[in-house]
Amino acid sequence: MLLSLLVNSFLNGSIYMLLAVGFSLVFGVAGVVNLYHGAYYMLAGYLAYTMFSIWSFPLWLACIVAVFLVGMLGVFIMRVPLAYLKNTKKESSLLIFTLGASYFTEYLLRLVFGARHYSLPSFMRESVSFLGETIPGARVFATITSVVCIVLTVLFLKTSRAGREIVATSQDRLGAEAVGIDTTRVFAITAFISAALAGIAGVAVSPFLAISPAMWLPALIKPFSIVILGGLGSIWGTIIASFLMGFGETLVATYWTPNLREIVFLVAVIIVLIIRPKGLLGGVKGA
Amino acid sequence: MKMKITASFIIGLTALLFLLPVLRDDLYLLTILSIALSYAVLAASWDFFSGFTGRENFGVSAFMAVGGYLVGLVTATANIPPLPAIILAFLAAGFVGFLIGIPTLRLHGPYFALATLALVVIAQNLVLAFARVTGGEDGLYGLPYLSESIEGSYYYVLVFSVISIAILYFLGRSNMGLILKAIQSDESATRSSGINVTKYKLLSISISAAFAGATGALLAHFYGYIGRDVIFHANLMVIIMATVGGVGYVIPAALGGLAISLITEFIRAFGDFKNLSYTVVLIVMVLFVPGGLFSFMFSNRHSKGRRESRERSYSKN
Repeated sequence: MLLSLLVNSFLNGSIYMLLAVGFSLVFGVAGVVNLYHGAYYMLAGYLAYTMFSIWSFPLWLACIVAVFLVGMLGVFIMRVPLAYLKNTKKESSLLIFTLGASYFTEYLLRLVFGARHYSLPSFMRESVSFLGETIPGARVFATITSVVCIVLTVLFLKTSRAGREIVATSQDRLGAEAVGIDTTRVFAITAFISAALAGIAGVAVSPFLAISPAMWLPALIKPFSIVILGGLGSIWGTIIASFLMGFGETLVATYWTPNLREIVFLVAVIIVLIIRPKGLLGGVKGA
Repeated sequence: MKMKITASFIIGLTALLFLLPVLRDDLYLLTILSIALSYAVLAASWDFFSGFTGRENFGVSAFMAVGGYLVGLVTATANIPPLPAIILAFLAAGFVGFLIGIPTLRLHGPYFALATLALVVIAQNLVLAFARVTGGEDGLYGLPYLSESIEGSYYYVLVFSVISIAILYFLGRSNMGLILKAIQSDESATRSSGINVTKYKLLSISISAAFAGATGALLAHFYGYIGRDVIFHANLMVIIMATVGGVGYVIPAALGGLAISLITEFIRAFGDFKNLSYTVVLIVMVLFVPGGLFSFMFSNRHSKGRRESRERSYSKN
């Protein structure tokens, strides 16, 4: 029982991690809280579905193209409307814009696809037995994908030149500009990574969670609470908090009621805010 | 001079709204106007907190839900007429706003907005989880109406809106409004001039929540029904209305609420495109008309000075 709990929380937590790391990255680097983040997750699912089921692309190609397109959309949104709104120096219009854009996407998808739920087939059809637990292949695939993606992201940030430019910009934007880093390019790369990670999460969960036009809101609120819990701008805090959230949700869903699992978590976040306003690992500067 | 024109416009509009049932015997119009007036109060109450302090409240529905479902609850248990129920909802939602303000107002900038958005998710889940009290997906039917006749209900809503918007407007023009705007421009400077910033922020969110809750209760009695569609549909609409009208002066936001609700009726034929076009309107307004449509009526006083001080406070960061 405990083992199954741990396995399930790891499966859920890894998806949350994928969403939260991108969300946290854009905030840390560009100082933008992007309420459109959940929509990348949703759009990737719909794009992959359209290309696979309607245009009959091979599954792998549909997924890769969907993630790439969502990443480019992230770059576009960062470079055009967000850059423009940042110049007007009104933080609130950034929030209202990204919230409005999320609802726009939801209503557009409702018009095109209706309120129906869709799903994609998985790359891994067979279930996997792990420590006596039988886990559907799609979930195993999603978990492996997200762990690999996060490891690659962290390696990219730590070792590559562009990654170190990103970290430098997040530490001190003016300083980074002074030593010749092109921060506009850094913002674009960060936006691409962030949107693509959310897109990967959207594609990875689509075999077992339905693709629906309202899925952007939970996909925005969860990374947000994780980022609050983990401390703003701390990647390690974010990763730890993702698994804590996966664990907490699974615990409530297993031992209490699945209806309340999101609420319990959000309430926990509010309590954390009262006792530790900077988050569990806030103030500890990570990558 | 400008203020005089504005004042006579507002008074004229109010007088017209009071005389309308006498001038035209159109019950459909009265129903639409009642809903539009309720939304005007919601937009005004949203503005009183978010427009004044600059902290975006994306959780209006959560406060409306407190009022609306409270009506459902008290009607099921005791036979309470609408007016005490609305006052009860006002107090309860104000208290909830206060309780929620304590932890969330510690959050800075955008994180406050996200926390209030999370509040809506909590409220939605709670409504479904406690379906025995809230009616879940179906909602609650058979609540007592505001009045027997549509004209009666219309006057009820009209008086409620005029009083609420007037209270919010005069509070906004009082010292409190000035202090809230000072908090928006520079919170630490306001604190260092000896003002209890936390007290004013909490007071402001409580008042805003109280009016949202009272309107939720009013709408429940107006429709004789309360459900997820009434409450949660309003969340985005209120933000759109206030943004379209213009924030920081209460009345432009209320006019935005009135205008958007009335336009809703004219574009009813658009069907599914309706919601999509609202979001387009919101995006266009934020990008190209950030001040809103109606702020010009109020913004001549001090506007230059305030813009300069805001620029100064931002250039520091």
